[in-house]
Amino acid sequence: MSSDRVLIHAYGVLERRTGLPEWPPGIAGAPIHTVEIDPLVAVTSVLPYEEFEPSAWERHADDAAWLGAIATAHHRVLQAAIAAGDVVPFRLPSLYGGVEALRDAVTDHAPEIGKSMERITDRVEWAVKVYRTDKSDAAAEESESARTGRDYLVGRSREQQERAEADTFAHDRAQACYDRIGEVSVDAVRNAPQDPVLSGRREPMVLNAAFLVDRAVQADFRGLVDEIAQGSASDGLLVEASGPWPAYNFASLPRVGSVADPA
Amino acid sequence: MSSPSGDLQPRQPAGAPSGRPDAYLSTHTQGQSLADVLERVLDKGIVIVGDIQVRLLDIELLTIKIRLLVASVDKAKEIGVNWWESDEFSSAPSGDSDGDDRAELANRIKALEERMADDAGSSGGSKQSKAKTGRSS
Repeated sequence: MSSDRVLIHAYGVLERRTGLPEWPPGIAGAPIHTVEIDPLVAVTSVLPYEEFEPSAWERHADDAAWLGAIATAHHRVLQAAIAAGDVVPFRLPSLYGGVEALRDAVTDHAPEIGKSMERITDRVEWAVKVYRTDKSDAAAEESESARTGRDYLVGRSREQQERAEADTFAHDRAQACYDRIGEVSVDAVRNAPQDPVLSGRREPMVLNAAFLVDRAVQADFRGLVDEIAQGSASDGLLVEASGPWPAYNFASLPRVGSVADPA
Repeated sequence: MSSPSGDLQPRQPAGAPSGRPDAYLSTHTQGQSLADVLERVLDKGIVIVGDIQVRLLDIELLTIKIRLLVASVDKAKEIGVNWWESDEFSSAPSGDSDGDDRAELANRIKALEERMADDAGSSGGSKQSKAKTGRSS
């Protein structure tokens, strides 16, 4: 019925046409088009309606391969963008019925987007995760080999106490990492630690943080993280940084009502 | 005040024309796992509702499912997630004699693994059912 109907997906917005990168392919291999919406530039792709209209997303909500590929493409475009300049990332999916609808939406929110842009200009996001490597498998084995029931109980209670102390220690150290790294950052957020299934590591994650960092101090930032990582190894903590990321965690509109946010 | 500066990627000059997207990704996104990407693109960033709205609920569950699917087999085994193996084995080529041998071997391994899993309790199994049924309680 409507086979040539299209959707516009917006990856994010740039401030002006300076420093455009060589774009990688977008979602579903679609080419990237920039749309000027003064004073911003929206980074977009035109997608076939049937494949990407709302019910398609609902149909594919369980389809890991479909969503994973789209998420990767969305991110790859934004990653290319930050290599050339600053970009305010949009959440996936950001779909519009046409260029005019996109233009209206961006224009309506221009002041808030401007605020986000101001916040992230000349800055990028870095992620720092801290894992516990001190998990006491050894203690478990020890108590299993205990001879009598009483030994077992004593061992177990001691083990629980030690574990509680270790938990507190790891938690405090993670907070200290966060605070210290925060000192060389413009802003910082703590997100929920990822489950081992998500992180792909057996070690429990105790810190999953994002930092907004001036581009000019990235070397210092990394140096500090390296230093903290080295100092924390003996405390049973593994500290890992990744980046630079588009400033996903620091570009947001003020929460009004409950728009698309089931939290 | 300032232009995008070249010190963003000290290891690769900003204007390097050699930089294909993939080359860029491999050198500069180290440590960015798919889970990290999903956590961000599905849950962070600006939301500007236009005339088309899509609600993707339960982001955490989605990311777990996606993570499971794309995790490398070895890594997933490492963390005790191997629920797809039965599918993998049943879809293994079994037409030729080689395939028959392999299928038989696979069945024996599977039986052994099941016995081990029974002996060791059900740590892997509970993870699986949790991911599949979501948060029911």
